[in-house]
Amino acid sequence: MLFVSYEFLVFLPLALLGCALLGRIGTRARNLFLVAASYVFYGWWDWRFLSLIAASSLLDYAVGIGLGRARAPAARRLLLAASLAGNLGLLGFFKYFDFFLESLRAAAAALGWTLDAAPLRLVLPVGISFYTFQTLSYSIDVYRGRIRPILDPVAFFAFVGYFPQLVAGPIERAASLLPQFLTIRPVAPAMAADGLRLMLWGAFKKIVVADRLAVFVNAVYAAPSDFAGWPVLLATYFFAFQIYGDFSGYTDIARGVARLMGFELMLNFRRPYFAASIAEFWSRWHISLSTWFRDYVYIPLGGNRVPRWRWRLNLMTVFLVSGLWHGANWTFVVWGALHGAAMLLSSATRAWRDRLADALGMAARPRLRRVTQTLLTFHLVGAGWVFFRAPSLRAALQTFYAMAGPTPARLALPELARGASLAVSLAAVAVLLAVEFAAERRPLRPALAALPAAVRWSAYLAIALAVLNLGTREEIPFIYFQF
Amino acid sequence: MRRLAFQLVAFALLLAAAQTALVRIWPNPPPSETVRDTVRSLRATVVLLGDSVNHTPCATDTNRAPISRMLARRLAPRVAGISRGGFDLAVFDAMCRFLARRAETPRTVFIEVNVASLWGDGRSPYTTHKLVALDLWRYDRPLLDAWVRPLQVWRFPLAAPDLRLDAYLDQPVVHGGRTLGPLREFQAGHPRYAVPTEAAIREHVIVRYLQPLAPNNRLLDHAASAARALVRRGHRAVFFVVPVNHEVCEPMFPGEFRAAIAAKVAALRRAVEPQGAEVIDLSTALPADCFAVAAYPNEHLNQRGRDFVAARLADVMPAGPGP
Repeated sequence: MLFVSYEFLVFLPLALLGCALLGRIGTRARNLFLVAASYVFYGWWDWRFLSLIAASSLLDYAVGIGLGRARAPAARRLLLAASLAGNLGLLGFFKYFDFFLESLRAAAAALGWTLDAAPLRLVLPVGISFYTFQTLSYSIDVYRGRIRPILDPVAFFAFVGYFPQLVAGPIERAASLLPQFLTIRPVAPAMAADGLRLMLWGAFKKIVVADRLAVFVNAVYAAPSDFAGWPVLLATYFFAFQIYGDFSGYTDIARGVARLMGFELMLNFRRPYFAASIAEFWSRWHISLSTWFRDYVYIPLGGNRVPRWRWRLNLMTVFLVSGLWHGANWTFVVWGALHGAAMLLSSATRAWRDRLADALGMAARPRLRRVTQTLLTFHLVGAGWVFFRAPSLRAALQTFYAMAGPTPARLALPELARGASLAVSLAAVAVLLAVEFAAERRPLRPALAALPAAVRWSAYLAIALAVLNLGTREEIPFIYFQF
Repeated sequence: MRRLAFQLVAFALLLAAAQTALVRIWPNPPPSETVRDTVRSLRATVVLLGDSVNHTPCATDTNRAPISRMLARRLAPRVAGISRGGFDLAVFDAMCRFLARRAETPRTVFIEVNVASLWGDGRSPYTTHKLVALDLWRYDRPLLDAWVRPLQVWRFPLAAPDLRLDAYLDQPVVHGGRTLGPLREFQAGHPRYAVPTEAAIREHVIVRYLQPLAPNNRLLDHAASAARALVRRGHRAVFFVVPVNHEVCEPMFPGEFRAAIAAKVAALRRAVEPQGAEVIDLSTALPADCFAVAAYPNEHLNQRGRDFVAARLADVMPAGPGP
């Protein structure tokens, strides 16, 4: 089920009502209802894949119980290995089997060999990368002794399948989300109002910003050579805002829905395009994933407490794996590699850049330096998005090539990507940036509260009207669903 | 919490008022020509719903009138013809439901069935069935006009977009238990059809007429729905299967071609006759020289062909005025 659909408009009030009513009976009844509601939410897309979520939940629940009882290190390692093999095996089979097979076939063909194995062409279960990582983190944390294993299976199944964040995150940690399933937290009016505000703003980001920009981006990226020059460049800028609006919009709606139920989900985005370096970008973009990789890959590899060469290797490994997490395609690997390389380059040239800034007189103008760094980071990230968006490496290179080419006299752009419609899309991006800029300077909640009610309500009304009227007729799926 | 609930209700009311005001300032697009034609047809007592077969003349025709006008000349009652290229049973269903609901006196509705588009998800991507349905729906409910855009954005089923072009073109073309490839490779404009060959013509026959029609195909559901809506309100629903150039097609697939067409007509009969509708099967009624291109598998008719169809439709009408 999509958040932006009439089905969800029917489903949500029922889910909230059920959650509130059964919450009066107790946590178990509430959690049981949440599992059922979450499975309906997911099964709306394809009920057959519910078995994967149930299997993953069951595996890690059992592993957790086992780890709670086992004392021998070998037994504990075996249990952890079972969780890793189960979850990564599931992910590897559904998401990467064909990719590795085809890569192997291509490599074999390059060596003059023939590999007779047909790809499976499996449907990728929506959200598999998210919920497998979430359950995996639970088992790892129990193994490390950071949390105690949970005994209540219903609470654990609710934790894994919780519908607001099931298919596109945030990838929650058991330590913060699981305890919320063990208590009933009354929903205070301020919390509910916050949730509604988040949902409204998330819907604006998705419907008005991301979906409108997607029309332009899809048209141009489908045939970059037909739109050479500024349209390809503009489409690349647009994609930067499309993916941000799409993903952070989803997260906002998810967090808003959770708050209406008395749950708190983690912050997943903190105005990433205001980052002044790639390292800062990753502390603001998809925070739940970047911290997951930090805690479960980067630090176990030794983090930065290792020789310099090893640290570089660790960093690059994390970015390559993170790239691959996004999709079974070399474009994502290159995208990850670009970010890793940018991080390494940034670290290696720090002293040189400081000297350059001094020479240019920027040391005395920290704000100007920050703006320059922010713009540079944004463009580096934007260049990376070309690989992320393109269907193949060749297409990505063609897109860069097309950017430099002369623009054709006639552009066959869809209606929503022309004239006044395009101006509305640009205005939506401007509103997004203005709000984010304001939030960057001071926290928005108290700033909003300080405004006269008439101004606040007018703003809410304008956003709601935009959400109702400025979307596209075409269904634009959430980008991160495919991961 | 009560205060928040009160605020929410107040906000919803304000939003409804603002939305209504917004549509005054930024009106919805006017109803399409198709919808205006459908509304106009309420004045007629006989309505013909067709596709390009109805209105496309042949280059050599001296009489370029569509079938509906030829029918009008033969019948005393007022006849309205509504046709656009690529229209199919899904669009006709929306129109029939509208006519059934709105027409005050009983009338006869002739519904064209083109077997070339009666297969798979065989709606042409440019039929915009949902748009027609939505336009007709909102015509009946002016108070809801303000909510058309939100319904579209939130993908209310009636407002959801039609089959996407890619999905349409990706449909597999099958023959003899084998998948020959996606439909996009069999489009008339495909480069491999640049030079007309017999092999190309054979492929066109396969694509247009030999594709299997599943009993649960949604076009059949639309046909049944249209028939049910009309008959229930006392109207007469007559489906007519347009002629195909069988003299060209049959020799290429002896027996198989006729059987495939007969199977489609039988499936149509099974769908609509239990609803009380009639079926006129003209699929193999015309020789090749009645078609716009005599040597090619197609359904576009020259004036002789169109006049023949009009005559056969007029035959099923009772003598004298009245539906």
